[in-house]
Amino acid sequence: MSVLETQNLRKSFGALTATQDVSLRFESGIRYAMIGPNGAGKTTLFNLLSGSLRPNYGKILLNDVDITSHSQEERAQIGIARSFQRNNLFPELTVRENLGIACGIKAGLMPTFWRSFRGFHSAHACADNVAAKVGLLDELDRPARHMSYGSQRQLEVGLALACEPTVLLLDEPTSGMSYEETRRMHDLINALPRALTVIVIEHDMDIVLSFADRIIVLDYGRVLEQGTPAEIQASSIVRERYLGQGGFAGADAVVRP
Amino acid sequence: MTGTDLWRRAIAVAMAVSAIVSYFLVGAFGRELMAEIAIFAIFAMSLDLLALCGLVSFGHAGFFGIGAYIFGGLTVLAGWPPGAAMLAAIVAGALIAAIAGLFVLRTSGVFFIMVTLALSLMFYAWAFRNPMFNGGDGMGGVPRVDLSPIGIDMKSAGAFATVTMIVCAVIWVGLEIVLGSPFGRMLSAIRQNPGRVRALGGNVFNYRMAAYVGSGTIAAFAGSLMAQHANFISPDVGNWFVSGDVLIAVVTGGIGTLIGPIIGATLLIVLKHTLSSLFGYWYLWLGLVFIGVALFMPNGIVGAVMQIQQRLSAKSKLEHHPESEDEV
Amino acid sequence: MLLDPGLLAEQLLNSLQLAMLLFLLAIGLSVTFGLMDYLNLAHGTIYMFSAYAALSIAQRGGSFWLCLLVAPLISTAIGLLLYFGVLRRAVTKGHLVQVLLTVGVIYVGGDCVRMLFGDAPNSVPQPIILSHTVNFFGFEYPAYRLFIIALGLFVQIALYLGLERTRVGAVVRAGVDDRATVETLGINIGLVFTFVFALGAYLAGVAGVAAAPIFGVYPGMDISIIILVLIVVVVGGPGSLKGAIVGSLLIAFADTFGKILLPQFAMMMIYTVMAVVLVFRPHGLLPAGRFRV
Repeated sequence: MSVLETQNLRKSFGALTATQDVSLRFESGIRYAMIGPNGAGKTTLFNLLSGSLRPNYGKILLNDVDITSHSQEERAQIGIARSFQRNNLFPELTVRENLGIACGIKAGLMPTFWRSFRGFHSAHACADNVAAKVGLLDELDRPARHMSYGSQRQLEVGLALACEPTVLLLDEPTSGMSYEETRRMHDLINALPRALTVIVIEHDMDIVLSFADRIIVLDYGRVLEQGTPAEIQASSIVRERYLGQGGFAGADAVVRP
Repeated sequence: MTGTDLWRRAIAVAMAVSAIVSYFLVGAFGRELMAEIAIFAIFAMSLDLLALCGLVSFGHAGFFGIGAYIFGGLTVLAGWPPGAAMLAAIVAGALIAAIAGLFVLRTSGVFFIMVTLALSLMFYAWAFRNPMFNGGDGMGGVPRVDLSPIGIDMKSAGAFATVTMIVCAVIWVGLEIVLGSPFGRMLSAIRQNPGRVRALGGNVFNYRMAAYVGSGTIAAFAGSLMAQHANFISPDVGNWFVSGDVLIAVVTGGIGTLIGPIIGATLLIVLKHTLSSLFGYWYLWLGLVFIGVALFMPNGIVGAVMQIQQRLSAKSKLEHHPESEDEV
Repeated sequence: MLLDPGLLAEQLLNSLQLAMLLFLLAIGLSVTFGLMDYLNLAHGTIYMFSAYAALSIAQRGGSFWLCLLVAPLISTAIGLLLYFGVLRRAVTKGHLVQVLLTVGVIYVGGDCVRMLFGDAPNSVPQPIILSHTVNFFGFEYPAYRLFIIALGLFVQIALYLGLERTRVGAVVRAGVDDRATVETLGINIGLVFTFVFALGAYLAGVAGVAAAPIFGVYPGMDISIIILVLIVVVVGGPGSLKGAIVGSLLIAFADTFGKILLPQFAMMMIYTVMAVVLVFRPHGLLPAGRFRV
């Protein structure tokens, strides 16, 4: 059970209000897609949810507990994990080492300074496990900076998964990916445990329609519309402001009931 | 990482062997130099611990000086036994690092460099004006730890050098373990990407603080050894030139490699002694060496060796598996 | 002592004069650091070269004005040689390597100056038309120091107009803010770096000549000034003109009045000011661009 909720969230940068009066409720186990034009405030909202930004006004609650003043690390420890829009990895470390750090932090063994890290088999098993989930088993010993962009994106998601989160925030996981890589990421998202609450910022409507239970449309920092994919497609406001007159035309979209 | 670890340890073994060989080849003055190198190497390793998590301190001479002054003050002025005074120096280093860390770790990058410099300059200013320690003239008569119960005469250059070199080696082993531990890995991760560490749930401040306190403690310990080596303390032990010297030693050797700082420390002291006896204007040559290292070996000497090792292993991988696309 | 208006005014002017000299040095270092992320500790060496060039000219009978005209050009030329030959290669290598490199340059420069001019301190005489006192609002104050204040103000105004009104200035400000974006606009950022470096070196050269009659010309002057300048840049906030002005004023006043009010803490005064400022403003008082959180 993991319900993430925001209440009247506002964030301004000087004269620019990036997030305005956003009240959302993310139910346990539901797949959410967050869409909207560039500059709509999607990443800012993620930053507010994950704790790297503090709101000027409003509250954030996890299972009815007020976490608004929790730091980034505290939120990660209670189960909110995120991936970033731009690859945010440990460039000198290999895939296994990258994931090992994440798994080690989760297991609480990182303060240990008298034993070799190599000896902690549970952390390395966890790392291998996550690598398998994101399809990086054949690149375990490759330093992150030497990986292809698509592989780095996969590792990016892997790091967030390694935290064993209850709420997973993915910021444009498929950005810059090829068609093949996008399909793989799509399969990955669909294979995530059902109990996990997943919120994905996505521009690719094919992906959105193929996994999302609910779609949230942001525009100018506000929630423009939210609902099932059918409701969003039918919404004239959304079509006008975001999808254009063409709407979802041309997409081999499978609409979830 | 196993390949690089192996090479670093191989270099360390080579250093140890050459140290032992040198010991028997040089006379008393050479052995005094070796003691100085060993102490400076401990000092350099302490800075490397900090550099490992991405913090560049330009004020580490402050801890060095604190260690020297606590030891000198307690033994000469308060009549403490040297062993207890060394313990006090270590504890003082830890405490002061903990307090300073609370302020200093709120900054980063060049600001961290300047704040740490400022703190060490304050120590220097205090020591320079302090009549209790004779201010700028310094204070002599600082004793060495008495190891005669176990048959070692610390007053002899040879014995002192041997003891300090063994201490240096022990600290190296200890820090190597830390380097390979989860804690050490965290420090390295924090250097590469502190933001991601936070996003994964790691408390970056706590780790940096631990590194800073550990670093300051070891530096103070080195300072107390220096006081014994020179039997003398003066403000110059905390002079910002010393901060610069130890930083240069670490960078020249290779940041984060642990054996690199030891090599850098050795190189710096040996160079200073040989150049000053060969040339009148020897800072010129020292400066040229620094410029050369900065331009051609920016990852330090050990870093350069590692790059050669990586190229060789990449080459052999290509030779054995020509179809595998490999890293540049 | 502060109650004496004459003495108070004199010290205020002394602070202002020191602030101007610090500003001339700080602005080059600040913008170089803000724009290129380059920690150039050898900035003081260029200041020193100019002072020694002026000494050379003065010893051969040249007037102060000839020194002020020629010496900065010489030091800028040497600075550019250093830049293209050695310094530029460390632009992408990070602060630690830059520290190592520029300390090497400091050591080499220091010994070059010793070899050519010896260890004894020297000085450059003040220009004759300024070697008198001026009746400044009821008390006597050296004209030469007023000249330095005027020179500093002139440079500050010129730089302000340059940064705000010219295209080059806009590019520099944009580059300090976000270098990557400027590069994508097709602007040759390397040319901008070179220009900024040269201008910074020139101003450091001017400071070297202007300070020579007051501070003297001696080996080690590069090191004693660079610490002060670094503190100014960090306190004022890197990358901004306002930061350099505010920083130089604050440090100059802290130093001048610190020496008078608390002589036993004279050295510590500036360091304490810096430590306090950084605790409350970890990026300095008025930083530019990317340093603004």
